[in-house]
Amino acid sequence: MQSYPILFRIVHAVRSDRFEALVATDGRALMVFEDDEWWCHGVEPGGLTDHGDGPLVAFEAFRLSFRHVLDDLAEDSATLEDFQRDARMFFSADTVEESNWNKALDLLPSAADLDEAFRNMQRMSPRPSAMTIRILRSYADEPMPTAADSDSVALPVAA
Amino acid sequence: MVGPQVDLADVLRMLRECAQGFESRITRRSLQIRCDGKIAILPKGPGIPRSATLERLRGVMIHARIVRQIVQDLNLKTDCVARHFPAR
Repeated sequence: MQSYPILFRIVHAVRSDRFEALVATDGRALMVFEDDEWWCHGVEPGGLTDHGDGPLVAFEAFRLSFRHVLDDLAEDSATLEDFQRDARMFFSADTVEESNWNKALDLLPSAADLDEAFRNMQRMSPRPSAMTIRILRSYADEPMPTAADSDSVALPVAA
Repeated sequence: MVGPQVDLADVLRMLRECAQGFESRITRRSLQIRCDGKIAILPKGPGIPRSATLERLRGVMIHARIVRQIVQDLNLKTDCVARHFPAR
């Protein structure tokens, strides 16, 4: 069973009612054919795996799930700091999958022997995995809306 | 989906016993599992219905490979996991 180590960059903008942020992720995943399907197992993030009929389909499912996770974490976070903490916690490496990734890298065949889906894929040197969170906008310091800016309900004063 | 399937309700029962400080919650797009400073995610979609709630997961089947990834990532004790899911 051939395993393919891959390097990916996923950039995703998240938005909650308290902040907007751009999350850029340089991560790793292991693409493996198991149980008649292709699986994309995250190394960073370790707590996510997804699958599909082909390697690209599996990666697309993985990428979509990853984006959904970031959206969920942003919406659920009370503060920007909470989001940063949870996003980094989620991004942490799975040590078993990391070891599998390193072994797969050592065994990566020459281009001619690669599965067709990987043959034309860009090749690059391994680099450290990292998650960068850039704040685009924070609403935390903005003043509360005044009565004139918000909905209201009241009883009229009798004339 | 092909391959071995497991009941998600059984997976959560196993996690309650084997994962220290285990917490789970359903969000709009996923089932989040947190324990011991880690977060693992099961996306909703073809596997987990979008309408799923924690109370109504019995009968929702997920691929055993996904469970393996969670067990691995959360660094759960293998003997505890094996009591719930004996190797076939």
